[in-house]
Parts: sequence; C-alpha cells; structure tokens
Amino acid sequence: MSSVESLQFFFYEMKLSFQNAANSKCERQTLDFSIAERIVRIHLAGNGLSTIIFPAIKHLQVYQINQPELEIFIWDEKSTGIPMPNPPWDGSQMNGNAKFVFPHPEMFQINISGNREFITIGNLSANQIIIWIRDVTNTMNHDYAAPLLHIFKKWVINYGLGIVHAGCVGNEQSAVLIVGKGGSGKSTTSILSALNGLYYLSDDYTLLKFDKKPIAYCLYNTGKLHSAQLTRFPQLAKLAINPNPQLNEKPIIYMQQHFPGQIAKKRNLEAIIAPVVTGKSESRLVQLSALDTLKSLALSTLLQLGSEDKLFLKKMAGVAKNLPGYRLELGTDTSQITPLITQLLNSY
Amino acid sequence: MILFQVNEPDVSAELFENEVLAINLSSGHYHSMRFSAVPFWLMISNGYTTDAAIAEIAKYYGIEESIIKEDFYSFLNELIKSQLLKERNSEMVQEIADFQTFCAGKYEKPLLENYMDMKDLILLDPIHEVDIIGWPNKIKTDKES
Repeated sequence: MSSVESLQFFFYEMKLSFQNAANSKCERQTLDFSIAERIVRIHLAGNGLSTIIFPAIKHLQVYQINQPELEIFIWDEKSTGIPMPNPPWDGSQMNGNAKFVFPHPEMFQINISGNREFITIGNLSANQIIIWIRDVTNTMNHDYAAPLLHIFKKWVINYGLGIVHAGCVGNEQSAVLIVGKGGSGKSTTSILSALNGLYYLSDDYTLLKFDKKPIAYCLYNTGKLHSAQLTRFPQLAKLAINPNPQLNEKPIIYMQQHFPGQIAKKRNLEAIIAPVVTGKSESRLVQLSALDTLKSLALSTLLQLGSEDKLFLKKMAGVAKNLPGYRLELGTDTSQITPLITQLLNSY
Repeated sequence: MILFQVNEPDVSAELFENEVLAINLSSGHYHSMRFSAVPFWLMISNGYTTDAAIAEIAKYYGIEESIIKEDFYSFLNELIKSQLLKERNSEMVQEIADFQTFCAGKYEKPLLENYMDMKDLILLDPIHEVDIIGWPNKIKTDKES
C-alpha cells in the first residue's frame, strides 16, 4: 500500500473510531458555527470536551440544516475508552512534538503536540477533519481560549482569510486592529475598551478577510489577562477562569458569557494601532509609517502563528498599505485610552 | 554558478516601500534590507546569477563593477549565513525582477540589519516539521538530557 493509501485508510479508521466513541456512554454533542460566514459543524465525543471547545466560539453558533463546509470530529480516548487506530507510522514514538504535512496538501495534515498529545487528520477534499485526543484533562488554557486554532488557521486560507496575532475592537460599523508582541498592551487595551463601551472582537487572534477594504471577524470571544493584571480589573477577576492554575498561564474571560452585548461578529477594519506602554501619565495616538505598521502586525503574527500561506506576508503588507497606522502610547491614566480609540473610530 | 531562491517555507520576504522585510520562521530572526541590497535581493532571489545582478547594479548606478563586487559577494554570504536563500530548484525559471527603480540616486552599500531578539514572539508550543519516516521522539528537557 502506498503512503497515500495508507493515510487514506488511516483516515477512515479514525472516522470509524470516532463513531465508536460517539456510541459510548460518554457525552456527545454536535453544534454548527458560522465562521466568516461559512458553516462549520463540530461533533464531540468525550466527557469535558464541550467545556473546552464550545464556549470560546459560542457567539458563532447557528442552527443550520444545510451541509456544512467543514466538519470536525473530535473524541477523547480517556473518557470514551476508544483508542486511536494504529497509525501508519511507528506508534511507539507518539510522544513527539511534531507536525507532519503530507505531500498532498489538500488531503492530510497530522499534528502531535507535546504533552497534550493529539492527532489531527484532515481530508480536505472531503472537508472533514478528525481529531483524537489521548486525555482531554491534559489541556492548556490556550486550548480553552483559542480552540482548534491550528485547524482554522489552515482552513481559512482557501477563502482569502487569515488569522493575525492582534486584538480588535470597534464601534457600530468600524474596527481597529490592535497589534504588537505579547506584553505590549494588546489584551489590556482590547478588554479595557470593551469594558468602556466599545465592541469586542478579539484580544489575541483576529480573523481577517484580506480585501482592499479588509474585514475583521470575531473568531474567539475570549479575553486573557495575567493574574497580576486582573487585580486592576476587579469586575473581571471574579469572572475569569483558570483551568490550569499550576501552569502560570493567563486566566480566561468568556466575553460572550458575561458581556454578550459587547461582542461584534464582524466589522470593517479602518486602522491599525500598536500600543506601547510608556510609563507617562497621558495617552496619545501618534501616526506610524506603513512600514512600521507592517512590522508591528507581521512580525508577531508570523513568528507566533507561522503560516502555510506563502502569500501571508504580502497580504498583511496590503492591509498595512491600505490602512492608517498609529502608535498608541499607553499612559498610566487608563481612562484616556478608550476615548482616544473611540475618537479614531468615529472619524471613519 | 549557483542560483538562489527565497528559503521558503522557512522564510517569508516582502518588498515594502524601499525596504525588504525578511522573516525567518525557523530561527525566529527578522532581517531588514536597504539601499543597494534591495535591487540585489530582487534579482538574486528571482534566479539572476550573482555576476549578472552585480553587472545590472553597476550599470544603473553608473559605477565600475570591480568597485562594488566585494560588497555584494560579502552581502550574499550574509544572506546565505542567515538562511534567507537556498539553492534554486533546477526546474524554476528565472523571473524578471523589477529592480531598476531601486537603483536611483547615489550608490550606497547593501545594508542587512539582523534582529535576533524576537524569540519571545515565537509560539509557546512550537511545532517542527518532519517526514513520515523521521517521526520524532519526545524532545528531551534539560533534566532528561
């Protein structure tokens, strides 16, 4: 059997295993979501999976009877008792931290991720992806905050979309992208803006449609703040969850659950702002060159997320060329921040 | 004569205004190219020979090739050392590089600025590509090794 055929066979065995897991006595759930106006159907089999996968994308749930454009099947071995079928590679070496992209890019992609151990196999010509997780209790806060990111990141490329490492907030029509590396103030600016009346689209990963007039979509309704930062937002501290307190990860706030009126699913993107903590009292917006805007957007996006889209940097360059960029100097008086962003948004 | 191409998929490079921005996803480094580095990069990454690229630059700046040759061989070494280029796939044809507009004004040596302190931007949960035969073992921690 060729390696293509053996992987195809493995795919169908994985699908059968999912069916067996779904027939076990564990929790089973199927929901539809609209991601950038395309229907994705997610089937879960296993205790505890729904609390990890669904809350972050709850705002995108739709009640759909048509055929979805992508189906994702996920099962957990520990709670269902259904193991992964024998893979077409040496199963004794399963503890790798690896990714394998099969030479036929439309057909298969397999990932194993560190201690969390999961495998994703996609038959993109059938628009189906199957995920096996060895033990769902071995998840990180990142899995709650941005579930299935590795799948969405690849899938959206086919539709002229991309996921950038950026926060995003908006008013009724427009939005600004908030870019920069970790610690630059993206999350704080995004969450603070939502608390002060602006619409929330993201604090970390924003889904973009790369048109001449780009569109921002809210993919995950989660916000994340370091525990130390949370003390500055007492109203959020009591809402935050921390599934893995021992790992020193950022606690998560499901914005849809607690601030449903503040979530915007889609907005026209009008500007890019790069926050910088200055230590001064006053906050202000200073115009950035297109090149500096691109650097702020592209470096953290590509180095954090990578991309299988060869044109991703070019597409981000297009966004930086077409939209004005600003450095947002974050002052210690945080009450000035939202009015500055609001004023900028209202100018479009 | 070795021909080159951008070291994809590890490297993403883009000409933006008068600068080439190159991001090496594998090393986590980012590089900025300016001045005569821009037309040279555009040509060399599109399959021009090194000598042909130098000759074009000399022609457009109106200077002797011999004066600038050393600049570009040394620059090319830096590009290779930074793994921004790789040997060109023999099936790829040379593409026409639109480099002329970047040869304006007084000649300035090719400038490559390297930014190595970007590691903190790299994904917390790094993923490495392997082939099906080389499925990797668990990465050893300092304690284990």
